[in-house]
Amino acid sequence: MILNPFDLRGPDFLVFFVLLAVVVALATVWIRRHAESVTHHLGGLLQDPYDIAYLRGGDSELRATALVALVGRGLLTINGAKLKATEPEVVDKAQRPLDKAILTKFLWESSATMLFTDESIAAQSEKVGERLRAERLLPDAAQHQARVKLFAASAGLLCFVAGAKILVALSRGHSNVMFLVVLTVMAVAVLWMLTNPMRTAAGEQALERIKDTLAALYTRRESLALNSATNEMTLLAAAYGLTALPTAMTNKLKPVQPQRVGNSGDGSTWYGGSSCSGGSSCSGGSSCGGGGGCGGCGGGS
Amino acid sequence: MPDTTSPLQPGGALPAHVERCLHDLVESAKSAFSDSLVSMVLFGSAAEGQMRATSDVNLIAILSRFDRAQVDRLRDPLRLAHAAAQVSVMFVLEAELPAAAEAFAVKFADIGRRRRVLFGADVFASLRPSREAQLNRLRQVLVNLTMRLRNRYALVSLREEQLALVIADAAAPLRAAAATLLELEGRTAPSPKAALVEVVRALGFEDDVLVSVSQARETRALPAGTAGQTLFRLLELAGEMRRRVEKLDRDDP
Repeated sequence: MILNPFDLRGPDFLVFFVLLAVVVALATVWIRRHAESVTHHLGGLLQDPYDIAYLRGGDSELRATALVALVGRGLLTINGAKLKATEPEVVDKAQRPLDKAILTKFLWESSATMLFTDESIAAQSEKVGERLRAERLLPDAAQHQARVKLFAASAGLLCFVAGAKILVALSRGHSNVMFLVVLTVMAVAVLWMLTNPMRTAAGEQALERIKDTLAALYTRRESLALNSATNEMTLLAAAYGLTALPTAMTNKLKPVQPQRVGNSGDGSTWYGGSSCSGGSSCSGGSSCGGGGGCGGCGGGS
Repeated sequence: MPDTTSPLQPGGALPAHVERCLHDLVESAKSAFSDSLVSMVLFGSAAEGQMRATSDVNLIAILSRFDRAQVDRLRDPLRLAHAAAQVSVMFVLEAELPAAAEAFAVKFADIGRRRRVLFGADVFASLRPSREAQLNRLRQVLVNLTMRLRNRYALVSLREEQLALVIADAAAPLRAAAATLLELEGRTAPSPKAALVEVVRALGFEDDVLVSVSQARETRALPAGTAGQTLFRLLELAGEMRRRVEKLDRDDP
């Protein structure tokens, strides 16, 4: 005889419902990851520190990484809580549109908070996001739509089961359904988070891969020179956040360091302060800081 | 172009992140240079699987032309590899190889001994610097090393911990010079490190100088009071090796 779950008593049905929610959640995650994974080679997909920073923490981490890059190159100087381009010509030295936008903004000394609030900088930052969406490391429109459908299907299933049980209970004269309603709302909220993470499964794979690749750089971070000709400091900030920077760089950025209000768990370093916050679009606070040769036959031979 | 790529097996002699970096960089180079890429060769300690945490990973890229647009496409991958695994790439045109081998004979002789072809043809299989070039370059390397050691001693020995780094950095040219010296004398050693052991013993030096050099390379530090003495022993060693080179030169027909 098959047991009808709708005939279960209240506590027993709640246990059944929780188990069902777990199964639905696991299936949802599996389906999403399966749909968003890549089977082709991930190497070469993520090499630019700005791409890495945006993929890890969005717009604010990208801007922080750009700050590290520009301060490290000596194109941007810190004066108290303000930033200023070293000289007008540095705008031409910068090749990336985002760097140009930042340096142009700080041709005249301004509060470092501008780095996180300026629209022209935001526009250039968004182009990095668009590139990552085109690579499907961040969800593009089609993937977003697929996620919504997946969420609707899984949440709809749970809501249907919960709704049916509530109707059965009410028809039998029971009115103590509030706990099931709360449980359903919680399950739906969890499902929404599981179906809508910031990165696609491919993005997660690529980010994990780049972090593994740069693990040795992280280990030797204290030996990095501030004025290195290459972009090691920027890559470090991009992959691991400001907290990973060597002490010398951290001290250099301290005057424009924002208050820390949370940790996303992925090394994100920011954000908070007076004007705005959040990991997606901007961060405010007092200001901001940011996480960002070879060859020849000389020497002894 | 036949692809004679030596597959980089996971779990091989190199650390996993180095293997991954090399694989990605070679793929990027193939994509960036297309037909201009003749071969990519790993050389030095990484090619032997004898890397330490502080070791550079040395590559040589043989190209048919150094095209700016093509090189620009390799900049990001190269910087990533440099940051991740201290990868250094020497770009040499195929047509320049004989001249480069003559000019930097000790290095090219070392590449001839210790290399791993990652992509393309093994251009070093038939490339050998001339004996005369090797003798000249060997002399140059040893004189250069001697002068550099003297300079560093005068400049940094008041901070003894920095002297250990100078000694660590002297090991590679000394080992390569020892391997070339033995080869010119008609002998071989399984590795540059073994070559230096053989030369040191043949010249009557105690093994403790080698122990100190190895320790400096592995730990970047030496026990208090020993770095200065070790450096002067290396100066003596370089001088003795140079005298052997001069003798070889005189004995040559």
